[in-house]
Amino acid sequence: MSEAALGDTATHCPYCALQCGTLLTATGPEAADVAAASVPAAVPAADFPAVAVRPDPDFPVNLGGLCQKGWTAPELLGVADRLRVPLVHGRPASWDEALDVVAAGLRRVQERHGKDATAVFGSGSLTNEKAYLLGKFARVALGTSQIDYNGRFCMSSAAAASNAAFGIDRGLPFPVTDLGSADVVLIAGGNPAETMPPLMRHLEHPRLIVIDPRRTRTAAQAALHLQPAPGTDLALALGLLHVVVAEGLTDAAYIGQRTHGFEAAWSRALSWWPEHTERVTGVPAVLLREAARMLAGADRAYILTGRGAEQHSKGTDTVAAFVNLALALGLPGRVGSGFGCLTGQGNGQGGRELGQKADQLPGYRSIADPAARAHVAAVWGVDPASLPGPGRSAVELLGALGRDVHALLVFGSNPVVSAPDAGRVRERLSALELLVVSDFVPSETAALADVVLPVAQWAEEEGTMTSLEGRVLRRRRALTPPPGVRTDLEVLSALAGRLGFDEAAFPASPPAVFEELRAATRGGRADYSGISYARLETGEALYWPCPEGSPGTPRLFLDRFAHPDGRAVFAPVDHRDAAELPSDLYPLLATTGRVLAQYQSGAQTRRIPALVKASGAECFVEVHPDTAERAGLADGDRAWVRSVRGNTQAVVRYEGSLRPDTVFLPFHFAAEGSANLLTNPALDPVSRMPEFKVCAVRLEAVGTR
Amino acid sequence: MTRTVIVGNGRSGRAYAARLAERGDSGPLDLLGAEPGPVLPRALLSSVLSGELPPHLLRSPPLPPPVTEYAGVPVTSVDRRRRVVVRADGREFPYDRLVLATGSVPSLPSIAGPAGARSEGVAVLRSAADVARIPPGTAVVLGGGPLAVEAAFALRRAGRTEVALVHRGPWLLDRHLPERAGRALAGRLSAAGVEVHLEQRAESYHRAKLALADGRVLSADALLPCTGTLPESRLAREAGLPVRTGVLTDPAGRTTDSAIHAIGSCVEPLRPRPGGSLLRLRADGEGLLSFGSLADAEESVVLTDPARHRYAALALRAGRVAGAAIIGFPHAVAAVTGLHDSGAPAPRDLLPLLLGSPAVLPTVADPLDAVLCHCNNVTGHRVAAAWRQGAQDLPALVRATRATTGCGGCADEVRALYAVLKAERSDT
Amino acid sequence: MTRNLVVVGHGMVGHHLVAEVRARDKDGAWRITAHGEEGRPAYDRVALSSYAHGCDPAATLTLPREALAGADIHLGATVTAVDCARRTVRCADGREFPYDALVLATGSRPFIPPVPGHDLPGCHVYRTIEDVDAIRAAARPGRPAVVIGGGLLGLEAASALHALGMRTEVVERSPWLMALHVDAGGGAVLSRRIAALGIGVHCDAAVESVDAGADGAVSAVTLTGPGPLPADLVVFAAGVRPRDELASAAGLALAEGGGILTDRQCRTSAPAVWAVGDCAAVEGRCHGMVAPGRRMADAVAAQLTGDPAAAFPGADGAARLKLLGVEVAGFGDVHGRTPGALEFVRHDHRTDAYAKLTLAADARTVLGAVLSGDTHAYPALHALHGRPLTASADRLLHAP
Repeated sequence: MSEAALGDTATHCPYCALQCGTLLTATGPEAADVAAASVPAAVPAADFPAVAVRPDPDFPVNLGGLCQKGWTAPELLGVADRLRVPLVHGRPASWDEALDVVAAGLRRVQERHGKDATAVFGSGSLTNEKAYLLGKFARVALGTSQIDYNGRFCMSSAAAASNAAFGIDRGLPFPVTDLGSADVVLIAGGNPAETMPPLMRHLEHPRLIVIDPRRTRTAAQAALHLQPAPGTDLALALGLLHVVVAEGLTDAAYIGQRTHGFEAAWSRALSWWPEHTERVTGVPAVLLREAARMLAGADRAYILTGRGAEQHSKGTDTVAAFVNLALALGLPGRVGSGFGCLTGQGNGQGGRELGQKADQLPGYRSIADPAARAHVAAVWGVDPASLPGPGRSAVELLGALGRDVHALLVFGSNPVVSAPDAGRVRERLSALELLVVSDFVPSETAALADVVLPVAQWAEEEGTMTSLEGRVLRRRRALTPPPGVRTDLEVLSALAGRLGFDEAAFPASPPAVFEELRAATRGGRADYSGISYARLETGEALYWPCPEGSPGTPRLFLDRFAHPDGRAVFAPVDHRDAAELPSDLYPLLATTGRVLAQYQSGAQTRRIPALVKASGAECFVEVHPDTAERAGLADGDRAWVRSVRGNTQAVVRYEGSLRPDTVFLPFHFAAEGSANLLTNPALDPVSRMPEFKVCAVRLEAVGTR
Repeated sequence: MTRTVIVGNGRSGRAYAARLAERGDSGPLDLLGAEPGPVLPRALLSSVLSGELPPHLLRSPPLPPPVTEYAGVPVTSVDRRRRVVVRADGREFPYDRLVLATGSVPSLPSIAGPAGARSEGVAVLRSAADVARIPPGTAVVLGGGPLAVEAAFALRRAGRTEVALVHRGPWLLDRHLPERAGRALAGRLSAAGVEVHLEQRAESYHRAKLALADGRVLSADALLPCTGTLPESRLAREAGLPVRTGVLTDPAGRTTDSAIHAIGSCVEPLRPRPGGSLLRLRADGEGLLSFGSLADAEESVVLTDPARHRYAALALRAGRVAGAAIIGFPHAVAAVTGLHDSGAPAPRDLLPLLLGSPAVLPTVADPLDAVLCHCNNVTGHRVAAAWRQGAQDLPALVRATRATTGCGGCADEVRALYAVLKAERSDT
Repeated sequence: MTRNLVVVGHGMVGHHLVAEVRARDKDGAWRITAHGEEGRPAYDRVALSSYAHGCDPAATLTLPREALAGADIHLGATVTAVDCARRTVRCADGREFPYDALVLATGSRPFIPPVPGHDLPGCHVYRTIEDVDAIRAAARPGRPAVVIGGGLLGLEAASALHALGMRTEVVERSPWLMALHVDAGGGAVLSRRIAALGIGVHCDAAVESVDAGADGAVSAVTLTGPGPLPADLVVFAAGVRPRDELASAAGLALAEGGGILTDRQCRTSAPAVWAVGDCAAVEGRCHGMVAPGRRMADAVAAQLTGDPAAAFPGADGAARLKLLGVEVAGFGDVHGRTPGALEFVRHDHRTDAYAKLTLAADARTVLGAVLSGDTHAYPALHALHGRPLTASADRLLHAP
């Protein structure tokens, strides 16, 4: 174990984008006994985590709430198979040896295949400092254009649609607490009751309209639940817009003064009258009308999208259709109303606006923009011409491994489990000349790596994260990491040095990195230059953009949208089918998603007994009883779920509320239980988001064939 | 490159043009339409009639190149020898391929007067402009088919206080629905304020009065004949193509002239489908669906609610819904249409499907087994155990189990269980 | 001090009453005298058709005698008058019996429609063992027989005639068979299945006359509408009428449609006089079936043995039987007459099995059901009478 800092440390949960405020208290042996008494389940004091966590009652986002993942997060700090020493080809090695191998490997690949043959795969769980430095490392130290991150699977569609509509995207362009005073909130493709439960405390007053092919726990609490077939959310949004416009429920003044492009959008929504929408989506026309009228009749309303609407080959257009609906009702850019996207990953936002994304530079700048390149190059002290251009998006990058890309550095991500068409991903990763994984547990991706670097966990490092409401938060260190474990910043710094760069240009100290990223983001759309550790220390709530001397921007768009003319733009979108439709061989639609007790690839949460107890240790597939029976399956049977890409083994769970044509699998499990063995890597043409939410499958009892 | 001319810019013509343009391998596409303004899809006619969709909102979605639209002048003839289409203003459009998508026209009873000299008050519904021209006052709809029923509902929704419907047949939609369903439909119309006259013939119409065969006279400032449609096949006929009532084509839409296709409702139907194709009436909240045949079923499922004029009948064959007639159950309409379109087997639980209610959920045998707090996976048993171990007030229970600390949604249930535990303690 | 309980009538309900009182009256507070018109010990009239099929009535039909031990049963004894003032009954042989409590269980008589020819030779009723004896004697295999009445009784009679080899036709006034107990759909299944056995079914048919042949005996039945049906033998099974003449003569109040008027506790207008079974019109309503009659007897027996508040719980018209090989069952609101009720029907045409649920306006509370052709779901459904559907209705109604 490691030494603990004294007293309470105020920090935030390491998991989702809600970033619940938590207080960590060191537990020595005596404190461990006291803490053990208040924690359920027989946990021997000796195995007890070095810190105890409790929710911060003063943090306005979680209002003293915390879900089971947050409560058990400290257990990961001392988990039995935690990575504590570097591994080279599976053997323990010293840091020097490991870093030498990495550097040599990178140089060799670059000499043989060119700079773009080296690539970086980052994560939406990395702090702002780590994300920033990773981006700089890739473009300066490696000189490669090939950097992207698993955040591509998070909000990229929503970002693309919001950027097009509003000129800028910030997940929720208003504080989470604003939601509580709404009359109606429409959630399209989000399940906060299970994915960020404390958020529901802000949704007690509003009436909810939930759009989801499954009757999730969020849907069960809603005033209205619309249950469309997977892959038809876009048609549903068009149908809602049709009713709103046809029944004269639009905010005509707002449309006239604050937007343009309504005509083109309406000309497409005209064909989506309620009965036609019903035919395509399966949502009864009467419900559609009721939802539209409920939304339009609210004084204050929000429309929020989640992965359910976004993780499609038409995710950008789907979000755009919901933005259109919001604009037609005059919601965005008003106090008490708006449009937003519920970010999923802890730092899904910061991760991209600080330059981890293939087409982005710090400040949410475009890597192709000459002015942006000039600014950032100046901060980095390099020639703008030396900065690479845009690189491949995540799925495309993974597809190029072993073909055009031969060395990959993975930070805080587990693509073997979390990427679509996981069977191909494993093949590609195995074809690399050099795979380096930086993580704190031996994930499935780390198991394939040539070099594994053990890095610090959330409670052992300093830094900042940007939450779902665009607020920059301080992550504070309560413990020193175990001896032998370093921070990601230290790793990057050391690697840069071995590649011949000045380590001072790649500082390992979070405050130093933050200072640099302030400068790098200055003047960009995501301007962090006015944010400092000192200001954050005072407890100031700082929302970007926050230029120097500004109080930050809790609410965007109140005066104008971020396009040059200040107006928001309607997108003329029309519905199209999912990339893969049911066939005789694969007659069912599979959708994937999260459950409360597990998080993303499960690399962390599958190691915590209480969470495994809550979710079950094996992958399960929710099936309508009739559908299961027709496949010869009973509740509790083990089944193969087969798609044209691969097969997942899962335990059947009867779910009578499901559409009979749809099955659901959580994607947190690995090996044979990995749901992403099924999923379709078909990409949205704009956001390059893969189609996690719909693919064609069939069910078979295990033992068949 | 092949030059294509499409005559008729209604739904079929536009969809065809869009598909051809999408394929990307076509030459110029000229889409000719007679109406000057945006085209009103037939399905939206009732929305305009009811006032739900103001005419000024009608648009034609733009068609991508190489489509060029020419609207406002009707086509008068097709010269097959020279391969040109001639408009009323004399302009000619040469074609390599011609597609006739001229749609259908209302078939009117004789009391409406001859074409070109319609009786005053007769309102023929084809375009948004027609709707605007319907005389105010009392309205009578003639007919008992889908359009007539939709029109009657729509007129009431538009606010007309006196609306009647006159139908020759014994019940409404008698060509599609069984009697009980037709009577339920009539009940719904009556409940919506429409005066329904069945087994009645209209004899004459003069000066806003409609005389029925049995001598009754109805006030009808507006008379809306909805007595069927006929294919508009004049162009084809005059060009010498074989025509029955509609243009005769092979299953691929080819006429006897290899350069000419015909599509949509101007085409003679190849064979009538038993019970008709899927019929989904548009009237907000009424929930009307009919398809297939209810006869020769392996299993019949019927739900009736006479008091509220609701009726649903399904005919199952080989485990699938082969025929359906649904009146007044809007949720069922959505679900059963889905079964029709997907060909999926019918679910076991048809009563909840027809009612639109959630499937009956099984009850947990032991209520304490149920998970109270999902956010922290806390069952009733866990709470009771913490109680027995000494957590004897609500804050202590919360500390011991973490229940209510997630989304907070279980607070009521936890409080209720706490009350039970407290009461039990005071009992012992 | 024992008191006198006199029971007039020793049919199925009369028998049940005596048995119930004997079972409850441990202290022997009541001295029971029962008078039965028929010379036979009480027997199961409902199972009469098994006698028609040829069984020994004494062995199969007679109701248990041990249950009556301690009571005085007078068979072949007709009670001719009741004197409420003096609290005595008088028998045909002149004897008088005083009572402290009197229970009238005089049952019902077959109703014979007053059509011309109703009393011709060859016309029968179907109620007693003697009636069945006569039918058996008159039956000729292969010859035509007509049953007038397509309810429970009529179908029992038809079953008997069919078993005796006669070419049987059933005539029913209502649009379908067993119209009191099943709905149109259920009745149609019954008709089809019965017709498949070779028995003619005529619904919506009223009898105009029974016609004699040259020999003066029955030769045909004329219906309104269709042509006459040849008939060597006619059985009237067109319903029953309560036997309330004794009560009427004694000055007891009668119900409007006939029957001895009683309150919910089966008490007549005279003190210490109860009425139970077919002859009783509880709160104005006659039930005409054994099960409700027995519940009435239970209530009276309870009142006589220490539970003065015991009352008749009412009848839900529940019945589950097998007629002519066809399973039929129903309870509650079989016709969907409750205002606002919904009806849910599943009809498997392959097996011709029909099931109908009547639900309240809330679409959940079970008000009644009809099962025809297959009644396996009856117990589960009947248990839900008056309750909301907790299980899947479709699974309940579907074939096992």
